[in-house]
Amino acid sequence: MSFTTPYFTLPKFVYFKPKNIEEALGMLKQHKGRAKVMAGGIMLVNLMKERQIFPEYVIDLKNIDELKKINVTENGIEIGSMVTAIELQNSKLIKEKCPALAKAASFMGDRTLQHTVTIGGNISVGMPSTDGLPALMSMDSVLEVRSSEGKRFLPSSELVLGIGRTSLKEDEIITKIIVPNDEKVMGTYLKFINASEVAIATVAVTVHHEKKKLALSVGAIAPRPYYFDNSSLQWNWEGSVAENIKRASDVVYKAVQPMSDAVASAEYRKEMSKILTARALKEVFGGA
Amino acid sequence: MTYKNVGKEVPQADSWLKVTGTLKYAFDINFPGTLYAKLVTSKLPHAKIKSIDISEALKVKGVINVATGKDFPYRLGLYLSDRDVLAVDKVRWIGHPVAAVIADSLEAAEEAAEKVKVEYEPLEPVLTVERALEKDAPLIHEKLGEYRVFPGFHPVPGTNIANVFELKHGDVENALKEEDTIIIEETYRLPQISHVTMETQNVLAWWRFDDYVEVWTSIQSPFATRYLMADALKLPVNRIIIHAPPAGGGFGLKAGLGWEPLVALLSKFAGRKPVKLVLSRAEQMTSAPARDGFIAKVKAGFKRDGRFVAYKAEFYLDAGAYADYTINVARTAGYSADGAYDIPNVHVTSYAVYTNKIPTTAMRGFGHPENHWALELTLDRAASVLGIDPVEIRRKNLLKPGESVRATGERVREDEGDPQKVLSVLAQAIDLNHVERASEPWKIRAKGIALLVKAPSQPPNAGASAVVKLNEDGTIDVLTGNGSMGQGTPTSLAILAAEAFGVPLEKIKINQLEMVSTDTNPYTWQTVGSRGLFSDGIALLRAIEDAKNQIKETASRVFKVPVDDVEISEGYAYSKTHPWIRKEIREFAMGYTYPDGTTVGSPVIGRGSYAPILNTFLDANGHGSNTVFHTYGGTGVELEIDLLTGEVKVLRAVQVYDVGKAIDPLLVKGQMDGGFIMGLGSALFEQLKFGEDGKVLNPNLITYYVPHFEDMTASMESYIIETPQKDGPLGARGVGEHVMVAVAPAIANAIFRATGVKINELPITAEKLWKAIKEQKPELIDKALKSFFEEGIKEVEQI
Repeated sequence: MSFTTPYFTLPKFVYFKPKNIEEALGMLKQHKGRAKVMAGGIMLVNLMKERQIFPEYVIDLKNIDELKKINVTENGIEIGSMVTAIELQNSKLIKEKCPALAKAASFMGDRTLQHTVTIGGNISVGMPSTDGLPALMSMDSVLEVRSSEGKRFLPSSELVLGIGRTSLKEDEIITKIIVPNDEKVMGTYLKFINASEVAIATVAVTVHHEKKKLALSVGAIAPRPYYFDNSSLQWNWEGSVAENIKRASDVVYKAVQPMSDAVASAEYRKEMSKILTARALKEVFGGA
Repeated sequence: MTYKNVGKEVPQADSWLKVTGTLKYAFDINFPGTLYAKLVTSKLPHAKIKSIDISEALKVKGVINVATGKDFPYRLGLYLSDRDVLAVDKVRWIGHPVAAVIADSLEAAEEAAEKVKVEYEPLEPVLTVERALEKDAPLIHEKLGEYRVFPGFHPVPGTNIANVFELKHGDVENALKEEDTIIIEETYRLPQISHVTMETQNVLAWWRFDDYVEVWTSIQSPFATRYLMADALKLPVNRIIIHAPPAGGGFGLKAGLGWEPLVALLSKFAGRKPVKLVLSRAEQMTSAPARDGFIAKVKAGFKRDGRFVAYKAEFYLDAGAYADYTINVARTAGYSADGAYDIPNVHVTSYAVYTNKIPTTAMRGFGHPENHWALELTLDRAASVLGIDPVEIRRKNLLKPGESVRATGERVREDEGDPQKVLSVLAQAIDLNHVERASEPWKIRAKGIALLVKAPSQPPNAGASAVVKLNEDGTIDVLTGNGSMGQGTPTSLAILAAEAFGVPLEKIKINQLEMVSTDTNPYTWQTVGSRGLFSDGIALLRAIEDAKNQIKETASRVFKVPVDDVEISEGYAYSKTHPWIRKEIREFAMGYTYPDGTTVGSPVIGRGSYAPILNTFLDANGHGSNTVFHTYGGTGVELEIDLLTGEVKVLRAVQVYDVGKAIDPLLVKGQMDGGFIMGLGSALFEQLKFGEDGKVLNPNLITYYVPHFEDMTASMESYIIETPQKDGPLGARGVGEHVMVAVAPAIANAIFRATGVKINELPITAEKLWKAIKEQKPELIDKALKSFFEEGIKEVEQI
């Protein structure tokens, strides 16, 4: 996504606004390969404006109420894929149970766009600097993906394959994000930007106290976010947090192999991954 | 002198319209039946155009016509006619407009633009100044010698040098050779940056059936645009009518000649229907001009006691594909290279150099962000080597009003301002030697300063005029040519008018707030260079004097007293010797009518005009008198560097300017704050990035980053000094552009002073500073990491 083309207008397309998931999936099947699903539309409209994609049909999910709900079920917390960034930030449940996601939502686009940005759309874009995915990965969330053939469950860490590429098939829609419903969850999301709105590095952390479980995801530095848990970070629940943070930051520093691009060099991203990891962990463990 | 209106904090007259979103910009103006234009631009940096196939584009429904360079064989330009309307024969940068589609909808125009097929024969692109200056470099303008050149400029045909300017004063070589001279030698650079006006350039033009050409456009300088268009299109000047509604930002982008000739010609080409061109942000940042890139090779000589004795500099401005305005940027950078200092030996050579990149033009303070970046950094480097305080080294070398002579040979006027006072106020406010501890042990707190002086860079005859009309009810209409672009000058002019006429401010209407039209408003050369309040202000005061004289003339007949006994104040004309004889000035507005109908006098309309006195072009040594006033100022910053990331956060800014007289202090402060933030953006973030082929890689506001609210400096202090300019309107001088110039040097100087790390090129991004520290002072980062990982997380307890 380069935002370099001069156009104001969009290429011609036919617009659908189905009322339920089944109708949307039916349309997607009927126009397979020639249709694109629109969630918030931020990326889709820009890709069309940039003349990078030319869908003949656009299937807008905005009228499908069942995708806009946040429910607690026996599976955990189910977040509809059309829940907006503003709703994520304002939901008491999300703030309490998914703090990394609530914080990440505050970085999606700008404040105005956050009324439009959806969590499903945000992660389906597959761009390295996407805010939602590292947060979802740190929460070990699973995506419910549906097509007219049925549904499947995809770990959030397996969604993105490369820059702009996901494991979603052409007739599939992310319908829900399912997060474990744990007690006493702590977490945060840090985003480091400078001289560009595209992130240099992002870090999401989620800690489940009682389960003695910690997961951390580093985004924006490579095509796919990196995932670490307490065992790969060599986290010692009995040891001093300061030592743990230092060790974890070193682990992250040694493990990541960032990319160089117009936003930052690999060397700088590697260093910032370390600093951001330490800052995120420090914040979660109360060092502010 | 006590004033009724001057010196009060008055919000800009168009504030209500702006905050309610109802002010009409050029962008908002549309006529039924308006056609839309879309540019087709070059994909190659340098190439011959072999053929252009428009047949597929013409088939798109709604397309009226497609124009190419051959349809419009005119040459354009402000100081040098180096521009074509659309590319003729060859393209000179990626983004160069090759063709323009005209259609009845924007959709059709954009669809058709994609279908115009251009066949090129690639030429070797010249993408750096270094390459452009090599003997065997391909020529970007083969016909440079045939272009029309404004007096005082010197293109070098047969090369890529669009202009060379030389300034010689004293004997630099000797002064540098002297045994006790300490030499500071540095190379400084600035990147190309974009003006980022909120309103992109846009033009609505209608070539009427009576062969008058009407243009509604977002510009700063309607009269210069009209003249340059007439000159290029070989039309009488008054056949062209320019309407300039308030511009959504100008910053120099909208000062020279823009897209008006193209859109006017497209209107004619489309059967004399109105045509509108609106640039997208990407087009604005790839096909329209930016600020020049800059290289300065500097050799400066100082004596042990801090005296600045020699300054030798070569400036190279990367002008891109067109330099019609940038040649004056190079000239200005050259003649004002000595800044606010009395340097006995100066030799500056300043080149504007063509490259196959985005063209360049004027930008806020042009020449000065460039030359002050070199000069003000050099002073702090010298201060460090000599062990002198940055304030002291400046104090020692500042120009002395009434005594010193600039390198141009121009004497520094007695009433030019008070540079020592500027420095003292700045030094006291910023308190360089008292630096508090940083907020975290891995951060460094730093303070730095920079000064500047700047005069408008304009031709010797840059004139202005004004008209004042008294209405039936005593309200007053003021007309000037001063364009409104957010700078506030119209409001200041209205305040001047109220003061001079002796009426309350609400009686004054300044028409150009809605529009400056070349058919109705009086002439001013351009709204540029911070010259508006000074030049248009003097003209306006003269017009008011003229109008008042007309009232006095009539009143003296009515009052039956001599003319010189009549005075005007508080909306009344009265006899000085018999003050009970008085009448409201409205009674004289259309002449005075007695009860029986007999009328004496006639409608009151005042005229006034102004041109600089005894200004000249500069000679071959850069000598002459080419300025009307100078404004001194300075910036101090207090900042924190995060040594872990290289991020710079400016915590406090101090701006000090000697404005002569603050007609509206609120507007002066507004300019200081706005200029500071713009300077902050250029210091820390902004840079057009080019690919290996010269393509702009970040033509959008996602990857070309300007300051956001969270980047703002929390504490911005402004100090206004008022040393009257004798010939200025009520003592005032301009300050609009100045306020961004010293910001970047002050930031770089603060970083250098606190860390010893030299950054010679903007922007100072976090990564650039982190790398520079790692290279120049790695121990600082090591120490910061140690304190962060040892102390920074010590307080964190296992839960």
